[in-house]
Amino acid sequence: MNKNASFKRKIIYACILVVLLIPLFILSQPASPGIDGQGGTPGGVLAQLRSKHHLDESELGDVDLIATTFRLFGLTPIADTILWNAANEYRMKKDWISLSATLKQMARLMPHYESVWRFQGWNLSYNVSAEFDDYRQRYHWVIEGLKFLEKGVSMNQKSIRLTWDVAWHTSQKIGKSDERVQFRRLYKADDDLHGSRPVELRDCWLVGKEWYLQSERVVSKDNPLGKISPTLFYSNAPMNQMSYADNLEKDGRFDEKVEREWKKAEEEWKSFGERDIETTQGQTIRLNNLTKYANLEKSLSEELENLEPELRNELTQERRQKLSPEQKAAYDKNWSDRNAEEINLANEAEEILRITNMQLAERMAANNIEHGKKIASELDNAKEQATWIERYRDLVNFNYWNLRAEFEQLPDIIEARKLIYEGKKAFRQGDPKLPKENYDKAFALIKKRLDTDEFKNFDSEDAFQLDFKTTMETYLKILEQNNETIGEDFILHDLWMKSGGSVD
Amino acid sequence: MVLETQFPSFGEWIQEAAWVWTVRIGIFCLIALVIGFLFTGIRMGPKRSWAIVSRAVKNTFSDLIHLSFKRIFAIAILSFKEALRRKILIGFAIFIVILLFAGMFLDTRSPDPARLYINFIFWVNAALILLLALFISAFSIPNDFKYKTIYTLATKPVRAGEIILGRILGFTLMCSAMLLVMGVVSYGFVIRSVAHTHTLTADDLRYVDTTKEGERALEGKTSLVKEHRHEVYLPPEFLKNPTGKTVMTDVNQGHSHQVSIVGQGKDRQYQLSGVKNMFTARVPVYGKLRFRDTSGYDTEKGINVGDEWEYRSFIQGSSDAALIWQFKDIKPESFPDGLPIEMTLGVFRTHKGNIERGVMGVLAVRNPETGLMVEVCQFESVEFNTKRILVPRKIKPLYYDKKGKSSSVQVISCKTKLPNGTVVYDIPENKLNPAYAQPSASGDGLEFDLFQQPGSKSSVGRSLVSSDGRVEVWVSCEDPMQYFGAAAPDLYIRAYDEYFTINFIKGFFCIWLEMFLIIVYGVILSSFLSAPIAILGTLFIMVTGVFHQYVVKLANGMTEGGGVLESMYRLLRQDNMITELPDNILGDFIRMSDQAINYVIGFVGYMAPDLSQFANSEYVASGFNIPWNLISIDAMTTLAFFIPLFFIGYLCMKLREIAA
Repeated sequence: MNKNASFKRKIIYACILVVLLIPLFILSQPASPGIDGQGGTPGGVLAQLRSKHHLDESELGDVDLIATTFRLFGLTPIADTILWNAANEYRMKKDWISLSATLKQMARLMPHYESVWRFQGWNLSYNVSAEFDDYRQRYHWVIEGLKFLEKGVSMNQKSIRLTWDVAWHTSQKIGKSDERVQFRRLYKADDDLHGSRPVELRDCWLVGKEWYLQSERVVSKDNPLGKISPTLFYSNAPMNQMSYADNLEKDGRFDEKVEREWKKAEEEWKSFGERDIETTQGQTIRLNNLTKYANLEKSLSEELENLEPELRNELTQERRQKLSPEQKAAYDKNWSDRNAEEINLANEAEEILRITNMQLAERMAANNIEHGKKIASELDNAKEQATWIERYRDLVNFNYWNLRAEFEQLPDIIEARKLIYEGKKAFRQGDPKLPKENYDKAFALIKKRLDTDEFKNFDSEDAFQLDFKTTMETYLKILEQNNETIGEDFILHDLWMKSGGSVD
Repeated sequence: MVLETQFPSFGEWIQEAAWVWTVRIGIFCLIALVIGFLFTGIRMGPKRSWAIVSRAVKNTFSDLIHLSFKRIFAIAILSFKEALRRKILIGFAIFIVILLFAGMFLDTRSPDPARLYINFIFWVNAALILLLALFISAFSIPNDFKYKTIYTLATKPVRAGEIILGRILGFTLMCSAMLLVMGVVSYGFVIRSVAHTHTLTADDLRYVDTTKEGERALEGKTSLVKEHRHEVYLPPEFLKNPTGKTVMTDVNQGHSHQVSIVGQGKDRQYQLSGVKNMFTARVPVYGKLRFRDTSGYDTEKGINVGDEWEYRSFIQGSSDAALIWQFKDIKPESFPDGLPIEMTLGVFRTHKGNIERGVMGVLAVRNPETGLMVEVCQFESVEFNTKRILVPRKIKPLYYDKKGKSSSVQVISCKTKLPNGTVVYDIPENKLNPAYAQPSASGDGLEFDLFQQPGSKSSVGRSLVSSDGRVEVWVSCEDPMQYFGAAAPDLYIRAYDEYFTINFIKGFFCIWLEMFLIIVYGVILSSFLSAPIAILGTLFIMVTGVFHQYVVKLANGMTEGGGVLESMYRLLRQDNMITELPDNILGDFIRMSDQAINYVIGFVGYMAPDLSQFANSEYVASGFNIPWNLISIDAMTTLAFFIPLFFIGYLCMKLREIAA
């Protein structure tokens, strides 16, 4: 082979390389964001496909160099297994410093694996913190868990669950644990955590609400809620507002701010009721629309029946003729006297005798049929809507919280809460007289409100009864101290009895 | 610091270890000689065989006796240069790169960053130097054969043992130099990584009232540096006259700072020192722990409160139960100011109790000779943190009235119930002298001395350390239905502090021992194996050594999920670890095969040194001195492996045909 041939061959190889690079470039050219969103390019085929299917790492959140390097060398599974085992060992041996460091390394290895952040964030905030005896150390670990989750959010900015977890941990772990008084105090004073956030806004319920709202903003058509219940999901932020207002009173504040915050809670709850929620069956409902659909159902039902008032009775009689003697006998029998077989027969009879609105409309006179069918269809729809709304309202105790927000913002109720707060405080300080006076005055104010039309059914709400029962715990102790008991003349006697209390 | 296994003193250890080692090596040599004799005997007859074996033994001894250090050193220099030629410094470059990026891995918010940094540094150094030692040692002799350089050596009057020792020495020198440089850089990295100070201004402080009327102190927080702040309390006496005085901040992230004041009035400035008490090397005196149950009997174990890890045992609060540590050899000259006790107790609450404070406990000291016990102080528990209490030389009991009566002083004996029901007392009850608990006639009221006054008869019954230097420290929990838990190393007397730098060097010496062993294995294996096989063999020894405890568990069939085949069977079937193997031929086959595999693993596993035994970085990281005792044991273990390995290497080298 002469030099010339060798040179030619090299040139050919170089050309082939260049030609091969062209499809490679078309395939894998990276996307360019441009400056301020202007002048960017969508990149090659792979970049466009990644973008279309949301697989681009930079779309998920911050990019971690270490994780990328480990993935490049295929070391992630090995490193991860070692780290999981190490984390379990450290947890068992209560080596919290090493555990915390290992969890952070683990999360860095799999930065876009939501479960790692969620599981280990929970581990730090709930399991590790509970191991400590000193509440300050417990708080430290709760915050460690929170920061871990926040880091997870920064790496997975579209993760609804992670964002929601931060909100949940902030609200529930700080605001509802056994150490809530101490935790809330430390949380408010935590300058390093809050940075420039004003002290007034450093309430776990308010910060939690911000995170809930952020998780709502993450939801989109491309990033749906999935298996998360929308009713529960969207109720969190307004519920936090309620808890915030409630906790202001628990902290001893009874000024105009409390009234304002309860009003705000009511508004937010009502606005939550206006939100379109998709049911599991695909209908769209609004929790505020229960009365509307109940009224509509009533009026449409009347309209349908009034088209041919006797028709339903006639149809019922007609169907009754079709019942077997056994079915008829079982149906006519008092339900409590029926045996097992008769219960089945009666159910069959009931099914035969049940006339749907559409069946009624179809049997109407020719001039009413079309109109009847239209009303029947609308009626069925209204009924279905009302049923779904009622079911979904029950999920979040919608009615109770609606009434509660309206109730708590009333000046005399705020006054009642203040009297109870001061009464409880005086009782703890050993005051013999003031506690009972305060409680009695407060109960009188509550009674006055419960007697109004607006709140006449409020005392039937289980949650209200439970709340009242908690209030009564101190009152009973006060009475016991004074050698008194609750009698028939107790001003909130009915509520007390409904709450499961007893009188002497 | 957690010490799950207590190591014996060097004296106790060497007696047993030397005996076991001598017997095993002796048996090994005897078997080798018998086999040699038998083989040559079959081929050449017993008389000839005896002569050959005798000559071989004689030559071996002669070779070993006539080893020349000059020749060994010459080969060592050659190996050193060879290692340099093979660009060993790349390892150092990798080390520097790892350090540069270490900040990305390490958590600056850690409650104890020093521990994290030190552990990391030791891990990186050990991993790198062991890999380096592995590669340079396993390639050496095979390369001599490959590049025919062995001819140059073999034609010289060099003995086989000298080649082996020369190689080992040369590579050890090279790696030691590397380790030295890496150690110095690591030390600088750790110190510099955590070095910082904070600022404190008047705006950060606010006045607070003290218990004394009219006196006010200042308290506040320092600036935020390295993700933490320190709480500062400046007492009135310090504020009145701060010249030349300092106060300490609280302990956060395992350290504190000294606060001093310069200037007066409006010019007053608060200055904070660098980190203090972060790098320590405490020398603890450990005691023997026993438990006292609620009935007042001594037991070896306390209550298990449901922890998966049974390291700590617990005692019930507001009962007779106590944690009792007995110390020996406590001398007044070692502890002239009293006993500085440090403890890390576990706390278990069965109810919330008072959230705002820890569970309360009482610390008492008892003389095991006289039974005199005095409650020294009440303390609030701080779980997972070290609590420091000084038991002074002159002890006033915790509670006493004006008449000198005290419920905090008693004379008691400890009782143990034997399995047959007999109760045994450490001091017979009729020998207890209640007068020891009464106010002293000498007029010092209810004051007790830790040690007996020399020549003072009256102090005999009023001292808390026995005449032979024994003393007991009792810890009890005061709050009902709350529990204290501890393991023996959780309470110790802090005798004194070693220099941190020396402790750091000790930690690196342990890495050096590991490195030396890997070099020895590498050179020995390469004396009769090809380079790739020698590398694999040494790597296997290294991995087995690092995970020695796991290998031993595996060999003894004590691992979760069973042996190799059993685990593989479950993996393929995606069964969990507690699923039983099928009761059929397949199951039997797996069980039997695993037994055979475990036997092989055990055999090979025991040939490798337990390298985890050398990993003493946790001592340095936790601020404890690595005892010389432990280092001596590690060094002797290294020597114990080196001698037979060298002998094997020598024989292999001698038997090897150089020019085939």
